[in-house]
Amino acid sequence: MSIGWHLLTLPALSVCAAAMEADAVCVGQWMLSRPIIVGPLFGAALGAPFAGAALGAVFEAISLEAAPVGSFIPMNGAVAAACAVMLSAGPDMLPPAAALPAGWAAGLAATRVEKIFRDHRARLSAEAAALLEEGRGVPWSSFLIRSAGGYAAAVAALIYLAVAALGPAVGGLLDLLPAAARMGMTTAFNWAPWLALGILMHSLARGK
Amino acid sequence: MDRRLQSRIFTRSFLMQACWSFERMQNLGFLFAIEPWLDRIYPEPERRRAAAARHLEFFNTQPYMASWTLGVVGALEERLARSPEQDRPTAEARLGALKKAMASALAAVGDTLFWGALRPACAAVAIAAWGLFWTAGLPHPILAGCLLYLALFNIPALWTRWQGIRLGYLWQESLSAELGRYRWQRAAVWIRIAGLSAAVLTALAALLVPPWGAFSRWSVAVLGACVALKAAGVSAGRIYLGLIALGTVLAAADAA
Repeated sequence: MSIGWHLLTLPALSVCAAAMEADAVCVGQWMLSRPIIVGPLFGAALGAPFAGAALGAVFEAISLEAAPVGSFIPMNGAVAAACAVMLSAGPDMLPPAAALPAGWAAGLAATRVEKIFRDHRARLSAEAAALLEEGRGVPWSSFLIRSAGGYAAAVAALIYLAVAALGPAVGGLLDLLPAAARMGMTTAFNWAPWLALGILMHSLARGK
Repeated sequence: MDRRLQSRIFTRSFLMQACWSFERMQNLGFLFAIEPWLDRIYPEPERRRAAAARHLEFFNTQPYMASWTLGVVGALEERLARSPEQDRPTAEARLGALKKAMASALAAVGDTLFWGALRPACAAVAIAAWGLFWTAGLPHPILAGCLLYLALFNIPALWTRWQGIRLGYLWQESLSAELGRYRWQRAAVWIRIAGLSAAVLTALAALLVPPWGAFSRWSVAVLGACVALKAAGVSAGRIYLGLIALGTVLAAADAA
């Protein structure tokens, strides 16, 4: 595996993925963070647009099963799609059948990171109240950098570590699995578009 | 409210959730968005800080609908600034109560319309467009589908955010009644029907139409089972694990 991937390409892609992911909650909500956008974009960047589109569409449907309402944090579809595509189309060349669950795990780990940041942001309100009480203004630049910037940096680090660690780990695990289990994973991945369409239909019929 | 102020609030509303916390949710984002308005309403620093402190209380709504609340609250703050001093505590309490009530009502509308209807419908249309453009031999089918998704979602979302500030400012307390005339529920139903049609057509095309033509009893069975299991409340993760288990059993049976 090339050093350029770990020192240059993967860090750059991790930062791009984290910047796109920030759109989900922190900045904009222009839907740039949706897996259906992230997957094809990262697939195209790594020369595998169709694999990116397939993984993106599956994660899009999976992440539709829960809406980001109130304090609920759904599985992070942007991180899941970006990691799965990088694992599959990057130098690790994991089969998409293994990249999908690995990306899914990374997406679930990202919800933990988000929860930690949401917990810690409570102190910003207290800080703002204290500053106003003292007759000063709220330093928005500092607040936004600490809150959104810090979160994006943490997500970029998570994506980098997930891709760097999960690639060899999942590749090694795959070799240990019996042939039937590997076939089972491939079959499940081939059925994943039907799972995606099923979730999409259910979500549209139910309206939630 | 002039267009320049509306533009500043509109731009700042994109960071409404940047400081989201479990404790007070969007309170800091709301204050950040409305701050230029407060600066204009209250030239005296003392009153401006008092108004800012009022908006540090809990606030949460659907992010696209937050701009409607910003419009209403801006109008009420203007009225509060003009009111005689003895009436201000009552007016402040009223403003806080209205802000909370509107946030809840608008969240219900936004969740139904944007999260429940438009987002899955746009996904279904984008996936259908990928297949359609690819089959028709159009260049860059995936890019075209992605752009279609972003356009279909963002045009109404940005319109809602921009107009919400102005209409919230105009309608003030009558916002809920005026919004009722927009028939959001009916719009959400039609959007969902359009999305469902796109998803069903995509499934049929994937099963029956060349070059996809992936028809097999397993495809139909898996699609049917997934819809049924989702309806029964089973999570996508568990269904996927079930598919891996089923695939493993089938492979082992084949090998035997």
